[in-house]
Amino acid sequence: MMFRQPQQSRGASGQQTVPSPLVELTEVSKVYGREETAVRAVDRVTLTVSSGEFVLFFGPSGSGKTTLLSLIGGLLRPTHGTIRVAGIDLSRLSAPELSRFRLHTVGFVFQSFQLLSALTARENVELVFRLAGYRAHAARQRAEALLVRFGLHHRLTHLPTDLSGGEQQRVAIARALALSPPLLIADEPTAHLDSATAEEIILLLRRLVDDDGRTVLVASHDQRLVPVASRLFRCQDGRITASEL
Amino acid sequence: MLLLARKNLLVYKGRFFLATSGVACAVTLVLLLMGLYTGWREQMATYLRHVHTDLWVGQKGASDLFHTLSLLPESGVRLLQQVAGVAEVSAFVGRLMTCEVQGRHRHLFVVGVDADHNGPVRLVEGRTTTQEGEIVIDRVFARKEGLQIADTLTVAGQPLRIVGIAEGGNVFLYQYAFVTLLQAQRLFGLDGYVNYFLVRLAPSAQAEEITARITEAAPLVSVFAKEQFVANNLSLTGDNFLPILYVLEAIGLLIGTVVIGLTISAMTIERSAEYGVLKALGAPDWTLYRTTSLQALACGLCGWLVGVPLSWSAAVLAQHFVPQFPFASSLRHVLWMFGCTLAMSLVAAVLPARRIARIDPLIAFKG
Repeated sequence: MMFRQPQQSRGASGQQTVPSPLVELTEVSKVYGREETAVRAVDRVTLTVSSGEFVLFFGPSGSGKTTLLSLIGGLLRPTHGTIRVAGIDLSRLSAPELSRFRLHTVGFVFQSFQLLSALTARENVELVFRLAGYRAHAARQRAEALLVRFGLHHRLTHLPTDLSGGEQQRVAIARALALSPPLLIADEPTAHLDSATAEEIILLLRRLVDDDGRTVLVASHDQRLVPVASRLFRCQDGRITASEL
Repeated sequence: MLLLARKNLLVYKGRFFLATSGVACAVTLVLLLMGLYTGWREQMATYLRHVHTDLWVGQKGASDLFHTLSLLPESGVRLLQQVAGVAEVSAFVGRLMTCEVQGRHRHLFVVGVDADHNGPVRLVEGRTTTQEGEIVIDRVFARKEGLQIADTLTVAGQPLRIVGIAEGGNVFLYQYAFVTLLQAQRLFGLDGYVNYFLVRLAPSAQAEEITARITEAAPLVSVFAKEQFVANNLSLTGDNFLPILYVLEAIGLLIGTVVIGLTISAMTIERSAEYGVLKALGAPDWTLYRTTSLQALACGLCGWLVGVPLSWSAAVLAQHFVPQFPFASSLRHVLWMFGCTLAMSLVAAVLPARRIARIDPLIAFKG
């Protein structure tokens, strides 16, 4: 809970208000290996993202966009530079604190959906509530409500293998939003989807920004995402080569 | 995490079944060994407790019926009878003998009985009072050798007719048999000698006091209270068999631990990517350890649930084919095994937990 409260508050409506900017990167680098074999996956990136933005990191494979999202999401520690998300300096967090940060502050949507194969759609979402300490009954009710909101009321008890790609990605998005994190990180969310489903998911992500006021960071090389993004960072060899509004 | 642990286990039903079976076998083995040991000790003590005496008086240095030989002159009975506080003295003659049963050599602990209260624990068939040339054998020996009333066996070249079959005289390695005192002395070549004197105390007499008086009157004897003498004889099992038993039990527990550990490790390796996703989503490591621990506990406890009744069934089966197999189960054994199963499961969960610790949550970003 420490990740929300220090610089966040709730408005009269109960809706979270998050300070701006939500994400701040200062001279962030991520280097793998040493000396001659060193690879700079992210190279001196400085950027800020405000609340309620739909930001697209656009670039080819190997351009460092996924590494950048991993750094912002607290899955990787930078070699140099500082990262602040929702007012929290990630370099100061221990491993368990980073886990709590990811659970409460960031929602992840992965390229391959990454649903747990032994669990039903509802259980996949329910699991996040359980991790946050919800009791079984409450977790189940909230998971169901979320899935119903995403039009999956008829798929609650289906295993991931029985769901279409679009349905799986919607379950993954519901899972990412379970604890209402202020930041949603999506890595190539349309890569494994057909055109129609991909567009459906893009619109869904956009609605999260417009309707819920969430901040969405997407890494992709899918051109269809460009028009819906409120900001676009072009990535090349670990650097941000251009920023477009 | 219980949800995930349960679901993941049920995905691999075959492996879960194998792990449970492996643990059940380990539980059965350990419980059988414990039951065997306890049964042996109980049966070993049964006859010695049945003997109607307060004190066992033997040759100095002799302390039991099995490790050491005690020889005392029969005339010593008069000396003991004169000790104040002694109510009754009788002779005990007994020795492990080789006998011949239908051409086969077998062992019997032959006891010479001079009074009814030194005879077999319980008669099952026939009679306890023997005459010259007669013997009462134990039911286990009778079953094992296919003997019945009126059959004959030969001890020290002397044919003896079976007139009674008793129970309570199975000591696993051999069984007690009973003849007259005179017959026993002749069979052992002990004319004028006995092995022990059995002393009954007068109602108000204190055992320690009488022991001191006897040793003062006869310095070349050792005197043991009844329970001390039983304990001396039980040391045969404790000193010799117990270390072996511990080794076998440890092997059983190790096998159980390895079976659980390998099963849960294999499941964890196959689910590495999903554990990585959970880490990425914010599941702390300890919740994932708890998942594997719960899986290990499920395997262990299911194995225990199957293993306990299986050990009882195995004991019944063993006693059918090996009549002298002593087995005594107790709630203490079952609860002790429950504790061991918990320990096995938690130790087994260490290996998959270490595996989880090494899983990189970035695996979630891989396609």
